[in-house]
Amino acid sequence: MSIYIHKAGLYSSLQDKGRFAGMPYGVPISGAMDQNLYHFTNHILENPPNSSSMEFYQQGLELEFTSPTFMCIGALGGDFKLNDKAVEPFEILKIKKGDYLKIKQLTKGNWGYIAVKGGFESEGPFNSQSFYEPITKRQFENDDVLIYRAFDGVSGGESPVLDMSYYTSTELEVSEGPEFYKLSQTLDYQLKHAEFSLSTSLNRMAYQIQERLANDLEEIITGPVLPGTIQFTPAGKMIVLMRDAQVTGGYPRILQFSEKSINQLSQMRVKSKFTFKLTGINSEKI
Amino acid sequence: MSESVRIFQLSERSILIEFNRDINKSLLYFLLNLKENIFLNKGEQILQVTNTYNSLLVIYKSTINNLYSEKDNFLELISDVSTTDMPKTPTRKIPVCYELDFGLDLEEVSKKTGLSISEIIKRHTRPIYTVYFIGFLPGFPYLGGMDSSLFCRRKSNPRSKINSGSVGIAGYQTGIYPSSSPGGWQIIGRTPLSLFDSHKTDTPCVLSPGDSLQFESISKEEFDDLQSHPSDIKL
Repeated sequence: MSIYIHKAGLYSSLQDKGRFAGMPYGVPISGAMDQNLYHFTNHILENPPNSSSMEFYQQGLELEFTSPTFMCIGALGGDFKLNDKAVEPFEILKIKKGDYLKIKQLTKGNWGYIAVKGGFESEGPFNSQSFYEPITKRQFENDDVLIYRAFDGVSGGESPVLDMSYYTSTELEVSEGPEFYKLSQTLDYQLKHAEFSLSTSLNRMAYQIQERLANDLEEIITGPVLPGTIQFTPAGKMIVLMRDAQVTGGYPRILQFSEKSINQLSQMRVKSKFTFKLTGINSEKI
Repeated sequence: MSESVRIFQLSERSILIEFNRDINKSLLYFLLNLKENIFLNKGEQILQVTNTYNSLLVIYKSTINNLYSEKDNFLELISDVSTTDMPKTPTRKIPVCYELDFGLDLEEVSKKTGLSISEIIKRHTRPIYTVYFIGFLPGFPYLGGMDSSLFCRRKSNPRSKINSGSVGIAGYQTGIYPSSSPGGWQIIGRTPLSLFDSHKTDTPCVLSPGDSLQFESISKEEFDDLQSHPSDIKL
């Protein structure tokens, strides 16, 4: 009925589409960092759309299954072994009691997903199983147990193929944020033409951009923010809010990532280079 | 009303409605009424509506196809809001210890405002504050009504950890950290009161938008006492 977590790896957690019910109480949306990969992996197992998956960061997991199910690993590339035999991402793997999965490392991307038939069972405050401290535990630790409903039937046939070109683009789609219009022409030009890179500060809450730009904007009166909002701090740092982002913020919101570009960015590693492609999602005026 | 409103598509599935008006209780009450109207009229399309001081964020279940018709619809709902006054709510007393152990930035705020620490405490405990919204962290109340002489900018480099219960100032705002977190507010004191309980999913927050409160200065001894006996805190 469960997975026994021998080695929990880094920042491993349970994630789904996220929660909106807690926003009025200041509870972040959360949910899988890469919603595209998360949905794709669940889709392979023909799971209901909001089934929870185990999300992990880069490396070092060892898991033992204690009852039968079908399992699928969602990852852009990596070194995975089931009972010491190499397995591929997106394979539908029939699991029996005692099977042992080792995830040595991801060779591409930051976040991977382990889905089982029907999803995992856990408490779901505000209608979501996504981890977020203080409303759930922070992350999995060694010797934790993760419950699922045993499944001994048959599953899917051909696995669909993930469109990897989704992740190779270094041009990230953004739209103007609410305070974009306040930027100087120089900043406007830099944002549209310069190349940026990711700093080492990457987590579920935010990814920081390495390059700094001169910021002479006034602080704003605190307003709503979302995953994908780029905040511009007084020190000139650009912070891309990710899935565990707070629901409000007081720094100017200069750009907004599209859903697709949040997923793309989530998988980019430290020092990855990218440019912004400004699209017209909100170019219309009243 | 319409000339001071900005209806802005923030993402594929959300629209920001921002009012360029003075931040005050009547705007808050207006926003809370509008929020209710939106839920009543568009409940089927909408996942969530949140408010801040001067904005509503409307989150849709699916991608917004026609921004113009949504805009028209919102302008209509905005003109339908009746602008009655805020209902009177009882004022809750929030105990805060302003001693330097807790008020990490009292000296910096004193330097920046030119006020003595005792004057800062006096001016922080005098007003009756209004809870405008909960944001930033689960249970974090944004309060309006601070004495403008206490204005102090956020720290340019946020702290990596601020303790639960810390009371801070950021610009013209004051608020309370309900849990430990990194943060950039200037910390002037701490309350022993717990503001957020995730196990009560219907009412996880002690405070809600529209509530009134006042800070009450307590000693370190009283703080310790209330922290070990939280049920003694009478709001």
